Amino acid sequence: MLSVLKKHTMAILFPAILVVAGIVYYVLDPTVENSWAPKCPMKLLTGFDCPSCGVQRAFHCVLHGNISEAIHYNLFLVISIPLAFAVILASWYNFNHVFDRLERFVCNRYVLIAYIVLYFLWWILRNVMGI
Amino acid sequence: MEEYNETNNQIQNSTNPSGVPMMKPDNNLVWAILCTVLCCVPFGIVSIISATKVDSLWACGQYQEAINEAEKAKKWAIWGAVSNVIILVIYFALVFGFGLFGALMSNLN
Repeated sequence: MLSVLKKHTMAILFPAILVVAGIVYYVLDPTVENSWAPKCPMKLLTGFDCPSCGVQRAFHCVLHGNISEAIHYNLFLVISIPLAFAVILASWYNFNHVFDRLERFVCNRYVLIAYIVLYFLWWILRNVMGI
Repeated sequence: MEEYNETNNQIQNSTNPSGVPMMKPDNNLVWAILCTVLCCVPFGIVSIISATKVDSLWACGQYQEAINEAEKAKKWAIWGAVSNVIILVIYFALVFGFGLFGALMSNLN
């Protein structure tokens, strides 16, 4: 029983974390100056945007139903969020091997190389072009 | 006795004498990806690279190396998250420290 629980810890915890984070970021508004939301250390130290800058603001906008504004804060989320959900399904919710094909896809070397290349490309482009 | 020790050793290296592997380690890719999505310091990339090696090393029969890479993937994902917090704490300590220093100096003048 305990081993079963331990095996499915994240499958149980993940929805709980998502709900708590959803409530917190629905109330907390990181889009305003001097909000309580933690700031990006990279941005504070160097002044450059990091690849994840804008994730909190985007999450707040999505929770308020504002998808276009969310994408405006971090365009890379269009790629990274679907991949993150695919990996989460494949590693935490792969009961009875239902997501085996998905697992093979996300663990594919070329998919991950493409992701890493896009990550760095996004990092450079957003600082050069200000997107 | 020696034979027993040898067998025991091989089991610890995650293979049994017939060469059939035991459980494949979790490659920790999920933490690596989440680290790149949510954290600023790009250690998540190092973690992804380690995580991709796990399955192929395991398929090649290099079981101990696969386990090591899985551990490395986990380690870098954790450092990706922890380093954010460390930098923030140092930053605010410095800002607060300089602010306090400045206030004291202006009082002295």
